[in-house]
Amino acid sequence: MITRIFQTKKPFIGFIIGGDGSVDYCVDCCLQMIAGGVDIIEIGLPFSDPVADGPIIQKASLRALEQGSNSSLILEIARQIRLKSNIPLVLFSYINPLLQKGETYLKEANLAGFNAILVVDLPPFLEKGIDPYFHAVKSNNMVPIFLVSPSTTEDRLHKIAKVSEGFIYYACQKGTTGIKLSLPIDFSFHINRLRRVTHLPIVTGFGIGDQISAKSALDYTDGFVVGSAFVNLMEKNSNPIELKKLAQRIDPRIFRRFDND
Amino acid sequence: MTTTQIQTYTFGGQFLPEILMSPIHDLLQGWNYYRSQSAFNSQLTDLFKHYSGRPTPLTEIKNFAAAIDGPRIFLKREDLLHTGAHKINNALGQCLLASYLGKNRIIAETGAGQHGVATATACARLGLQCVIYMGVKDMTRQKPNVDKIKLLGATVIPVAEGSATLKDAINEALRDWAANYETTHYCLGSALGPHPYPEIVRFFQSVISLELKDQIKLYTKRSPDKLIACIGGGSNAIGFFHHFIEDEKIQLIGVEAGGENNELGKHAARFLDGRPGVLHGCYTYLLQDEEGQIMPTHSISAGLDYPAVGPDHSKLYESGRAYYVSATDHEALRAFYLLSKVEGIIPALESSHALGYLMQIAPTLHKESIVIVNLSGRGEKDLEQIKEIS
Repeated sequence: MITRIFQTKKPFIGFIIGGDGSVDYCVDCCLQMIAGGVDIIEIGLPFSDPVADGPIIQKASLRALEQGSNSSLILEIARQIRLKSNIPLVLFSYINPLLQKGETYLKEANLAGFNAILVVDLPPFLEKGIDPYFHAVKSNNMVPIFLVSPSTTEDRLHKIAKVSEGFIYYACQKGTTGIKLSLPIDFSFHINRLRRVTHLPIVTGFGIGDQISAKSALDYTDGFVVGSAFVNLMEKNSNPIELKKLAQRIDPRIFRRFDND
Repeated sequence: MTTTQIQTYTFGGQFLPEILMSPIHDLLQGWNYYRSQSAFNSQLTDLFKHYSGRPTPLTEIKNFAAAIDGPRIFLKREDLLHTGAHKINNALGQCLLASYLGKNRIIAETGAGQHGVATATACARLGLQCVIYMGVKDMTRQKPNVDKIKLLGATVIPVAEGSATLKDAINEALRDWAANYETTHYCLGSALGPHPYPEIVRFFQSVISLELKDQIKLYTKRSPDKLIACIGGGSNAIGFFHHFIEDEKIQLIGVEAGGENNELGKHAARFLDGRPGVLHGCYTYLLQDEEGQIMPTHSISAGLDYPAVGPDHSKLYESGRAYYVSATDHEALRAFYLLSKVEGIIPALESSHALGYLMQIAPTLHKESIVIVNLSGRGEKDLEQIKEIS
């Protein structure tokens, strides 16, 4: 499912923190994002100590936890989105909550509608091969998504490419998630580096918050991720329609179509 | 409770976002190279001897022993080091390593402020730029240390996120490192975090047990029976235990912060009701709820107020080589006052936990047995905190 989408388009991936607001609010926001052109939804399981995230997503995670979000609530959000849409759903998480919930949770996540999983602080391989957690992910019919970063060495790039499926996520900024004004100058260099080791689609994220940065990302990649900009609207408890409008404003593919005319 | 975990990892590991995998690998390589270089080691030995005040003395405390009806008790006096705690051993070691690695900016987290002061001191001495992350809650309860850090030329960045204590300061330091690893060394203050940090910190702190082994032989003509140390992340304890681990006749005891009571959230005793999980890059015992969310902790001493324990201690716990117990805020305070009054030594609230536990068991011990407590730091920094309670 995840793989197929890249055959027809360069998908727009939207991210939210699950349980930020309420289940209903999250579901409404996601449906509006989909209406606004988002092709894949990534739902973050909130964690108390999100070291890979910048201030906007950190705050959202703690807010969601305070409001009682948990691993079951995330599944409920997925289930409800699934009732209305068949777009791919990616579960985004830190390793500890997943580890504590055990393999049963992977099975439940798949049944709830998740197609893929991205674990931000679990490196793909141990010295002897792929981390056993990802075997469990695969045996539960989900695709493990791996990140690469500007600091990833050639050696690691090869190893990550070898174990990746679906797509590879290039986190283009050093540091943490959050909206940046533009793509870093070494962006195309790193994408080319990646292209040399993989035929899988490459998507990018970490910092994309407007149409200009999304467009420049798509000049080089096969998809793009917007997180903090959506989460920012949810922090203000905005009407879900606003997320649809934001998606439309950011989506550069519409811009492109006019461009080609 | 308990769903079964998919698999267990060995304690330690490198659970980090991809952006930090190369920096940690570079650190590992640099560390493996310099740790055995004589230039590096002789410069470090020189700093220990002529700058921070090693070797530290071993003091027998007969008045305290008599007051608690106890055995022969000795203190390893890390409190007498420059900056007042064992933290300087690791700070000097890592900052020196950083300068060998060509990093001129140092970041560090601090809880009690001792590691912040030690790192700022080492940076001043070695000519490195220094940034310290500190939870706002800790900044209030350890104000004298905040002032010292600033005086030493370092920048203090307050961390208001989460519980605004040590764990949140580590989160912020990791985020800084992810953005600035090219110029920056993260000087982690305890024997925790991703490999090779636990090993690096243990190496620099193990000077404590190296000295102690000779000192106690010279003093008592025999080996000690028990070693007792307080445990936050566990750096003073691992350095204090290290050279005694192979001698299984010696009992090793780690004392965690029992806080106010046994309720989750009211203490920092990871071996009391924690279970293994991943925090700050390593797999180890930690305080968490059933969802794997990290729990808030409480301790009167900022230096023990941390939800995870260094992975070496998890190994020693599971192998049974070391015992882990806890002392409450109240027990620590009693020891704090008693040692001050009868020996003229004001212990840090952290180290007071080790003494507090010893007070509980003292009457049951043989009078001729030898117990050594690692007095990891001095208590001047805690006076404000004590004033508030009394």
